Amino acid sequence: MSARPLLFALLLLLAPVGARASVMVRATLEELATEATLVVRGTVTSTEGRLSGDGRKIYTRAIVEVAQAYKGAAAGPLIVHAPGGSFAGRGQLVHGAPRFDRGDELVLFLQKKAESPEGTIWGVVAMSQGLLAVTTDATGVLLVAPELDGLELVEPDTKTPAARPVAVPLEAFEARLRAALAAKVSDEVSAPGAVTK
Amino acid sequence: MKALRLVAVALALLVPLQAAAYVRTVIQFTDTCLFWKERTLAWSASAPLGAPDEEAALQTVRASFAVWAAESCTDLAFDEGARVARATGFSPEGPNVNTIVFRERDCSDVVPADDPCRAEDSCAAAYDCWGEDDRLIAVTTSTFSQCSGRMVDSDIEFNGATFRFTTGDGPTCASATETGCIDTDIQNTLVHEIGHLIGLDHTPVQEATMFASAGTGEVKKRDLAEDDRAAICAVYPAGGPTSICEPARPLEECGEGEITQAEQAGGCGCAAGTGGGGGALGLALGLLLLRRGARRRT
Repeated sequence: MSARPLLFALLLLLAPVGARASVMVRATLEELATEATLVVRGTVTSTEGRLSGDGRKIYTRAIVEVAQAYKGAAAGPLIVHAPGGSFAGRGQLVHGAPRFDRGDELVLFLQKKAESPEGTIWGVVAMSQGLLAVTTDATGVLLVAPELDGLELVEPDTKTPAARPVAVPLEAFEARLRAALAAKVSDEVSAPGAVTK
Repeated sequence: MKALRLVAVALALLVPLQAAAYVRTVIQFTDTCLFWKERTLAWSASAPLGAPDEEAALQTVRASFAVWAAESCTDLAFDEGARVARATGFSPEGPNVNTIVFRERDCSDVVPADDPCRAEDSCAAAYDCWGEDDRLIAVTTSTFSQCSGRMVDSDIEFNGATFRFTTGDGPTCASATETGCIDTDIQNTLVHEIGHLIGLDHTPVQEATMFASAGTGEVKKRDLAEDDRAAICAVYPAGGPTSICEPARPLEECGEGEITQAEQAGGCGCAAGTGGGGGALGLALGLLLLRRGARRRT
């Protein structure tokens, strides 16, 4: 038997898991689903670094072609903003912010940030916790995995490190998501006067 | 037999890795580390700082910088400047200073829904409010040359809108209203964030200040651990060159010509510590695997 697979596994255990640098309280799928006004699966068709209105911050503007909306309605491509990016040779890193790359297929939990002449601008809920990558495994099964670069999660009560979420089949994820969304609707029906964020 | 030897070598890598495993911040999808060229970094507290106990908080901020500067193996120093406005980020026209600021209110509570700042991502500056997610405890925003990784500004913002920051000693706070106790300790948080300010990322070493957790009442990150010392000693050694790694182009093409080739030869410390060649090798190989994974995205 070749030692190569075992070696690779050992080296992966040794390696740091990405570059993480902000500490944030963990959000559950139910919380993400509740806080988001729009939950979609889609593909990033372009990204662009821009300067904030005061010229001091760089943000990334991504255009997302929607394949499926799980919550809310998406009439066309979405404009999504995230802190950090690059502009005119300058980079700016906001640790834990969601990051977009052209061609990425993603599940996104979004909140409306603003209206603009170009359309509604959306932001990702809970920094990079609200962005999940859709990938295909070796057998062709679609997986959904969190993209938590730049972020370390802590438990809400104790603020001790939280277990990192793992990749799950898209089908199973969608079932959990629909259950979370249905539970939210149920809560609202049983609690008259409750306001949806 | 060959297989067993290979496995033994891999297992041997574990020991030095855990001894010094600090991680440096790199530019997205690259191996270019962030670094400061200067060895004396200016910082300023905002005016006002914005913490509940202004004077105690300011003393704690000073003490936090002093923790990193106290290491004799480095000549990295911090120079407190005059108090500055509560703006963060980088202005090409300058002046820029590494700013420490506590945000006391959440932007979602104070910014009108139709304010144009929402579309321009400038509400935090316009309304002096916490503009990131309210689950974040603190955030460091670093600005750098995309070409070389040289940092030009790094600001630290505390989320005082959601978290209660304390400076004293005592038992862990049992409730949000209890006094004379430790809630989210400022020095515990800031010594960690200053690590980010100088270009360090989270380490897998649980005892280290740069390990990513911040429990209520925790104070162990008020000081440095061995892994943190290894990081600052290796990246900014006293009298020696700053450790620089894999800029996108030769540094002279990045407008950093004054950094000499000898300084570049200081070596790449990206994600690798000085705890032994084995640990560095293990991480380098691990990073190679990670890079291969990252490249699938492009």
